[in-house]
Amino acid sequence: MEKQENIKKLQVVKFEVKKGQTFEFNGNTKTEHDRIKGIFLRLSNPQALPGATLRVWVDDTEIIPDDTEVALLHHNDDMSIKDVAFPMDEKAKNSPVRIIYKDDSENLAVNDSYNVRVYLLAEVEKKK
Amino acid sequence: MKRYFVITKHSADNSHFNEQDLLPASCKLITGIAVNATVKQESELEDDSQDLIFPQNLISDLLLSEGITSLFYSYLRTRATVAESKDFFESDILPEIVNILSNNLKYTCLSEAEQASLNDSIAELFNTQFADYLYNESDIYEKGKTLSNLEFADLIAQRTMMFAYLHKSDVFIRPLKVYKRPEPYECGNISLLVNGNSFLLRDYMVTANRKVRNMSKEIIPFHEPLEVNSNLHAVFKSNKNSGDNTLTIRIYIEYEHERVTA
Repeated sequence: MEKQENIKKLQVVKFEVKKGQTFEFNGNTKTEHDRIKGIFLRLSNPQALPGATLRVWVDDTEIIPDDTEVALLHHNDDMSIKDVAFPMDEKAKNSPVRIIYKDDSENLAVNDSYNVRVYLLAEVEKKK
Repeated sequence: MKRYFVITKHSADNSHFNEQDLLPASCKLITGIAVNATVKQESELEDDSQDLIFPQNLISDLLLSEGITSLFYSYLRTRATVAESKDFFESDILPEIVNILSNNLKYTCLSEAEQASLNDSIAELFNTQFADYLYNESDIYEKGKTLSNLEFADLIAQRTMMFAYLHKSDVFIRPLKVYKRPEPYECGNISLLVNGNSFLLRDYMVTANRKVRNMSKEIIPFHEPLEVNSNLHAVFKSNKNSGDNTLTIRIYIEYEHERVTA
């Protein structure tokens, strides 16, 4: 079997979370992507990290279980994307993505709302 | 493919706990474990500031303004003494300079209120100190006698730049509020047993509020084959350091998941 180098792509999901809010995102992966290989996220205000948790499904498979701390998946500036991405391997091709993000920043120095960007590392299989 | 399972426990008022949880049915081989403890504490805000980039193009707007160069012209031709010249500078030229600087220096990172306060501090700095700087330190009156209009405008622009640069750390800053992280501390020991006899962790010191790294770095790797319907026994002994705060301990279990193919 020949090994093929697949083309790497990125899909970004951005949403705004208000203080104390539980935000549910429902969407789909891109049709032109074949597989989702990793996930990581960044907050516009990293001070909201302590206590924030999330749960993620891709293609109806629970990838990140309930009550997982966002800090474990957050991309800091001192890490490369390759190191930070949480590994996974699920079908893309318009499969459903569901993210439940729970904020817990009410006593922290955070503005009323902040942006969360979830990055999905996707791959497109090279066709011969 | 690896899967994760999270068990969340709380310890209020320094209480110990000794609890069992059923692991997911598909969890037949544990490949790693991570423990993290957090305490919700009121955050403290501290004042801090961030340097803004010094505006290199500060004077280009100044030289573009016809109002200013014509003012220089009348200044050059009509003033006889230093005092008179300085008065004229303060009453006519300075407001123009301040006006141009505060209207043209826009930082996209600043909010409207922050931008307004930056403009105010630029105006205040120039209004109170700039004339003295030009006349006392730069001796602009004597130098101006031999210069043409354009050269003189250039000189003033240069001095404006130098003056602004000298005071950049007072003016070109953005005030910030920074959240002070709660100090990390050791909050107790945790032991994790599978099915009541096999230790995954034994008297593992848990540090609350430590800086959490990425999941892959947090996981302590090992292999522990399990039977179906295994349970995890978590025993936490608090060392009474948590005061009134409620401690949240999360146990992350990484396990090998066999993909079920239909």
